[in-house]
Amino acid sequence: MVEASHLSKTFKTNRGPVVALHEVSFVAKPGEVTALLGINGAGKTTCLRILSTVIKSDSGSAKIGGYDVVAQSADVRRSIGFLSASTALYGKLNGRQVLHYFGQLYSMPADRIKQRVAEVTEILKLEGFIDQTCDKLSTGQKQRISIARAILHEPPILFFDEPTSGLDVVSAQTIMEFIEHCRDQGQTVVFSTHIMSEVERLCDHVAIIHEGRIFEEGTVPQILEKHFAPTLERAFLNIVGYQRGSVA
Amino acid sequence: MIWYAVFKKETLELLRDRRVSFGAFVMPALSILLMFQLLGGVISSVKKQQKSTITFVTGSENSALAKSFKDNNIDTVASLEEGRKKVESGETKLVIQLAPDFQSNLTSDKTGVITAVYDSTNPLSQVMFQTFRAQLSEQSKDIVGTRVASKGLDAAIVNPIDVKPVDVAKAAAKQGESLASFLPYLIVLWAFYGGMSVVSDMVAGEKEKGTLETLLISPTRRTELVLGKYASLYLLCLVSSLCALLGVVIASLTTRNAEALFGEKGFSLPFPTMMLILTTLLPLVAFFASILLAVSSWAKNTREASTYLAVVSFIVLIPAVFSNIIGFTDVGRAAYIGYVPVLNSAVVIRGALLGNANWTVALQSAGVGFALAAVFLWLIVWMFHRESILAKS
Repeated sequence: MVEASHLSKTFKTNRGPVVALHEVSFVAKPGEVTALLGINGAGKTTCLRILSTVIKSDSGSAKIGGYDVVAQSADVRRSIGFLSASTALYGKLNGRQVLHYFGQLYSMPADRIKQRVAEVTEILKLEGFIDQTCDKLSTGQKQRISIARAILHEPPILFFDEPTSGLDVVSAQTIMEFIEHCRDQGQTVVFSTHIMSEVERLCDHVAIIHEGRIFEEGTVPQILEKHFAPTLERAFLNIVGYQRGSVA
Repeated sequence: MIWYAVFKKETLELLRDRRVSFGAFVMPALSILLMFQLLGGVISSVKKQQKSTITFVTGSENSALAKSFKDNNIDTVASLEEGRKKVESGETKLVIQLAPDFQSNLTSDKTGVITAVYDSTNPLSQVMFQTFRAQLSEQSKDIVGTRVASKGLDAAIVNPIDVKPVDVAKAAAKQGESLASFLPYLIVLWAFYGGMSVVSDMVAGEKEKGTLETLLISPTRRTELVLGKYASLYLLCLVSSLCALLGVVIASLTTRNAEALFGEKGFSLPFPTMMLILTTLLPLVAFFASILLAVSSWAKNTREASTYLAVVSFIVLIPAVFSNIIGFTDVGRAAYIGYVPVLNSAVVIRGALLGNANWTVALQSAGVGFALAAVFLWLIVWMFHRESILAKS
């Protein structure tokens, strides 16, 4: 379970303070995929970085699997897996070495690491390239190693930050299937994206985020009904106040 | 022991990085080898020059004096004016003309006059002139002795003061004098540059690539992440510095005129000297690795890190450069020297090479090095807890 309550975050920049999040609250349940849907700069990544303990919120609180993200950050880190499209791998190491390294960082015993590497290799079909150095892998292969890294320690909660961004159709499909697999396994998945079709296909719960605020929350049918929209895209544009010709 | 896993991973990455093998292992040894080869070549060239540049004006070349310079090649010119032009053009370095009555004056207890044409702005010409004059001075002394004896007088009359030199220099010091002037500088230099070549990638590079975030999300304590990276960088700086030392050993075995640079017995490091150098290197490397990692942690990306590192290298290496000329000053004996980072290590290494192990300065140097390393490590750990520093990229 992920419970975000009134999270706010302001960044100081050379051009003055920028409000990245304002009073953001939502809940993501086990066995469900919850989407943070918003355009670039809406605050999705900031929200996920707070939930994954990389940065702290200025106010508000969040609990991940019952642990407070500030007071029990070590427990939170053990409970989560994080994946984003922009995360790179260590180019000089091969996939197996990367996985082994992260297993050690999560204090997993050596034999358990070996066993889990074998398991994720089978689940994600890594056999053909797991022993190649990451520099030589294709984008899709790298992304699959990244997924393996994120789930190696069997976290009950997974954060995906625009995981398909920049990937080809086949690689993106692999990620989508994997997220469905996680949901079916009963894991809590929080997924940030700006791609409507991914949300329609995958998500049980959607939080539409814009300019750092949650504008709407609910299931896809609930949102469509509430905004009298035939598609999620139309509903989204209505919610964020987009009007035809407003960008000229 | 998670820091050890981080250390192993960082070291493995470093070993697979061609920049490391070249910048931290090959370059220190190669640059020193090339430098010594160059020095050996220069010495050969000087020796060759010394042998061929004494030119006598025709008529003077058959004198007893000219024959006393049999170790040099003797050349001739037709006139003093021609010789002067040759010296001015640099074609020859020293032209000698004996006065017509030179020999007869010598035998009749008068002064024999020699005209020596040289160029004081040409170092080789000046060296030739000084060497020639020093040799003549010895001959002159012998002639005076003969003259005094022929008059039935005691030679002491013309030699009221005699200096008996007592050289206290140890054999090791005589051997290491030329080395001691620049070897400490080279060892210090490569301890820094070996690590500098790759440190940008260790934290700033991870920020840039996004891999640091995956580390921060893991339950590993930030202190352990820092220690693992630091230990790997420490090892690299140390090995790089030792590669520089290895370069000296290889150079001593392969360089022409090695005896002029390393002494007749060649280059050797007695065990106590080696131990003292290592004892000095360990805290120095601890300091260098910590400051390098601090810069990499502070920078947003590798490009910014490279800019900062260039500035830091300048500040850090000024004392190292000064160590190169410290033998010409008495600063090495000053009480405060043990507390000046980098310079203190260079002074200890220099002393060790000259056979004057100064354990007091060595201990001060170790204290300063480890203390600074501790401060910078604390700073890095502090930075690893600051999202404003870690999140910038």
